[in-house]
Amino acid sequence: MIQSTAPAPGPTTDRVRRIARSPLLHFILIGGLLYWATGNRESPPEVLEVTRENISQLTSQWQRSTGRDPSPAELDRLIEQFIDDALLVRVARSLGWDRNDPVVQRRLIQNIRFLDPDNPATDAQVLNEAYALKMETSDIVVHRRLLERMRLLLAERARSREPTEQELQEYLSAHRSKFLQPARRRLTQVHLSRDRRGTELHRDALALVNSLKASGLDPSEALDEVVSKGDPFLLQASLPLWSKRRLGERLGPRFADASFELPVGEWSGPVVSSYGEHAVWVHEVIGERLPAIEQIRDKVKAELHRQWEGEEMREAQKRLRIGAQIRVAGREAWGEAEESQK
Amino acid sequence: MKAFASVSRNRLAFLTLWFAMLAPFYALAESVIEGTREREICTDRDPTRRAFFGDLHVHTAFSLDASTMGTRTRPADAYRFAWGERIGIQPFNESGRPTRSVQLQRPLDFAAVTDHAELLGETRICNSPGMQGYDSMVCRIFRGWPRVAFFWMNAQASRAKRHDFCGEDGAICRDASRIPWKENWEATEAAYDRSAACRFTSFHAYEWTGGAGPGNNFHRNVVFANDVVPETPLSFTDAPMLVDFWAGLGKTCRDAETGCDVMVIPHNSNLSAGKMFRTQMPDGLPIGKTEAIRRSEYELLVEIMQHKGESECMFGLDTEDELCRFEKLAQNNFTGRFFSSLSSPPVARQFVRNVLKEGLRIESRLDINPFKFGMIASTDTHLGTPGLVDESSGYPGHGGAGKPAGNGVNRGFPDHIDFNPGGLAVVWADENSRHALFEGMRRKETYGTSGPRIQVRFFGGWDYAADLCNDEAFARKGYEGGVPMGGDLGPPPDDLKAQEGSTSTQGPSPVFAISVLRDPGTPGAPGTPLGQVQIIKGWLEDGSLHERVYSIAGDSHNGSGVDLDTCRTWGPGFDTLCGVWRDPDFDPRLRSFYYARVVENPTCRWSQKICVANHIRCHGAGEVPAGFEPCCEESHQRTIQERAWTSPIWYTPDR
Repeated sequence: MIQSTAPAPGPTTDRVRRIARSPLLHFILIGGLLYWATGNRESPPEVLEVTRENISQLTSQWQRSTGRDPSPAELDRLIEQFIDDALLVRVARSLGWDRNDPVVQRRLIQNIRFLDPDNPATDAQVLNEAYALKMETSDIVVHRRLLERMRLLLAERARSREPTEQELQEYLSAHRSKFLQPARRRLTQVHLSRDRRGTELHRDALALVNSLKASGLDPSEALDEVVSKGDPFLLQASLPLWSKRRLGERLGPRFADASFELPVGEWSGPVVSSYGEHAVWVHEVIGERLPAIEQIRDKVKAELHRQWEGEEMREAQKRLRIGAQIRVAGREAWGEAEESQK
Repeated sequence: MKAFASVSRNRLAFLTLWFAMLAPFYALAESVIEGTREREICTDRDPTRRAFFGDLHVHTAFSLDASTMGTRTRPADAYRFAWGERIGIQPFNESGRPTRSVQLQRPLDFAAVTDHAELLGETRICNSPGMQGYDSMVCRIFRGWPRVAFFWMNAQASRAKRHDFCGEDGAICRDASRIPWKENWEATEAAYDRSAACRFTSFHAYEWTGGAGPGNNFHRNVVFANDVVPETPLSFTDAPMLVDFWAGLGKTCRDAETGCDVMVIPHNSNLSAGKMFRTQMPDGLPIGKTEAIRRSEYELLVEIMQHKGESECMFGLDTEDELCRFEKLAQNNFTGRFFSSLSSPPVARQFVRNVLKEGLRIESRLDINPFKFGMIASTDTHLGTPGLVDESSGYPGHGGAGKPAGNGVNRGFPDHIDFNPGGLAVVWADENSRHALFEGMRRKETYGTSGPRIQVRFFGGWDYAADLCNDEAFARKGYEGGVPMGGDLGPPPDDLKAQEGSTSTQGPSPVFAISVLRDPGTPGAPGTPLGQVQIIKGWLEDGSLHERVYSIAGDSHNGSGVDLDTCRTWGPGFDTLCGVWRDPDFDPRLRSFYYARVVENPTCRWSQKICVANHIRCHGAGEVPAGFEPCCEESHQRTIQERAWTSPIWYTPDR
């Protein structure tokens, strides 16, 4: 029954395709299969075993990609991931995807042909041979393909729902930091050039800062006079409200870090930049702020969909764990006991 | 009835009061309409403009050549990366999780995802079980033997032919392309910062992947001004002739009166066998005025450098410029990279400088210059990683025509040794918004860098003060006294003509002012000091084309260098460079252009950094480990001088 609703290979009419892609169908399908997978069947579910061999494979895979052994906590995480994946793949198999997915079929045929290039059998015969050998249960590509299809199915379901205004607002308030505009500062800088002054730079800069402090000149009132005390510089003396990042991109990270520590409304320095040293006057400081939702609606929606995708996946994994019999080599506990470790 | 009227009058009064109270809040958040949608006005605006850094050439999993090598980054991920988030890239492990991840040290100001319009539908169909065509032989090959599919499907597309499974007129595949095109649209809209902070701009875009003969590259990126875009991207398959392509863009966008606007950016002319910018029709006759006008209307910028090499100039091809040896490929076309018999050595017309010169010649005949390009650079990443231009030993390659890493990281080099991490596009604009950046690109007030964030101002006029470099108001006076990069000089002012004409037989000559700030660096990497600034002049004289390189500021032999065993650099350099230069050889009767090139001190190339990181020693005992042989080959370019190229300023004599 469930098997027949899986996307069938070969040409289909538009209508069937539209139905196959409809969220409602996916909803029913996934609901059905989760219900089915959570144990409302006559035969008890198979025990999922994580063997020593599996664990050593996980370890060596980790070593290949990081160049070191996993820590015990990392190994635990790898094992939990392995279990999650295995449970999803089990559902994919129960949907018959290991039999009717064309990528899987192609892979299996390819495997047999590779092992036995002179075999005159047709593709269909070769495929049967592969199934007789239970090749679909051990092949890496088949495993990866089934997992990917499950992921896509869950993700598409999550994305197909349009969030309400309230959901968007709630997401925004719960994830303010994601959308916060960084703190900004408006400042005036008087530049002394490293190229021009060489070893005298720091001495000259100290003198400049001291003379500006003594003069009491406010750059909002006497900008030209202030600027005339420095060396010519391509960036304007009066900088707009910039974030630390923006300041760093224009004057270098040292200047940005230092400027965000300075007091407001007085001369400070010398502050070192990538181009020399500067006397700095901070005019204005604006803290972080959250933009209006109208301006970031698309981004909030995209992030919310991403969250839903993750939740859909976690929810599926959680429900698949309920009642699942899991045995991990080297661990004493069984089944649900694994839950508490996560 | 009366009661009703009074109630509604009360309500009206209430509403008026209500709006009056609200008005100040609305005034705070001023907004403008761009395309069909509203955005706030940027708080950070500068009438003397600012340089914004971005990448206008980015492929994701929606491009067949990226998909066949294991790229899974989608447009939304690419934009997240450009914003500064960390993303995972191939190879993916058994559970489909990425084994490598990358992040930008400095986020970009803008980016455009430019997936191939060709095969957009085909790639979607082959990746989506249940879609019509999924089971076709082509798709089976696509999934089973991705490298074979890469060549075959691209070959088919470059002949402008659809596969059989696309149906009689290609409708099935064109229809399938709507899905990724829509997802791309949504991702691009979500990535655009419409708040007053104006942190990031995304552009709707795609690549028209044209070719001719054995892989002669005609590729062009298509960038839209706002959110109004055609229903499906016009591909090479649907419009294989350039003239039809431009006409199609007119019909579906620029002339459609929907608010749509668009520009076209050719790239990789270094692999075009000189055919990217044709001067002759197939029958041997010179191109006509219609083609020249169309081209000049749509093709305003050219991509001078990217992952697959640099296209400014090549030593020995109409130039003796020593600095024209930078990031060169040895072939004249694409296929030549895979099948050497189908390639010849590069030819002069593959390089932008020669094409700019050729434009002057055509202009003298047709009165219109079809090759009047501004400059940008980009990455052409096929990992969906815009702006990943770092030359460090952690460079993962950019995929695409480079080395695939779908099934595992390559031993030795992550990419073909003659490829590179690509460059950046820089636009001078009042603010970081689609409107301001697109206008900057239309003015050609742009430049390209080979990766570093060098800031370059370049102005041309007739009477800039000789001490403009000592003036705080360099930028303002630059704009007031002439034109910025990408502009036209125009004739000298009359008073200047009279004044100078009396003392000199030459008459007035143009003055150029250029001011440069080095890359200010990041916490981990301080950036490289500047070496020198040059102006390159090209001109047409008695029917023949000439060029000359002038040194403006800095010193090419300043004694700086790099230790090849450690990649440590030494010697002096400059934080800033500035110069005001009057053309000493100016002849007012000759068509000419001037562009600036800024060069950093030498540093290790990415490939040498990998050799050093792996302790490869080319002299002395011991074998070079497998995969690292290129380290010790004579042709290996160990050092580079990173650089920036500005758009030219043109001079056209009075007729």
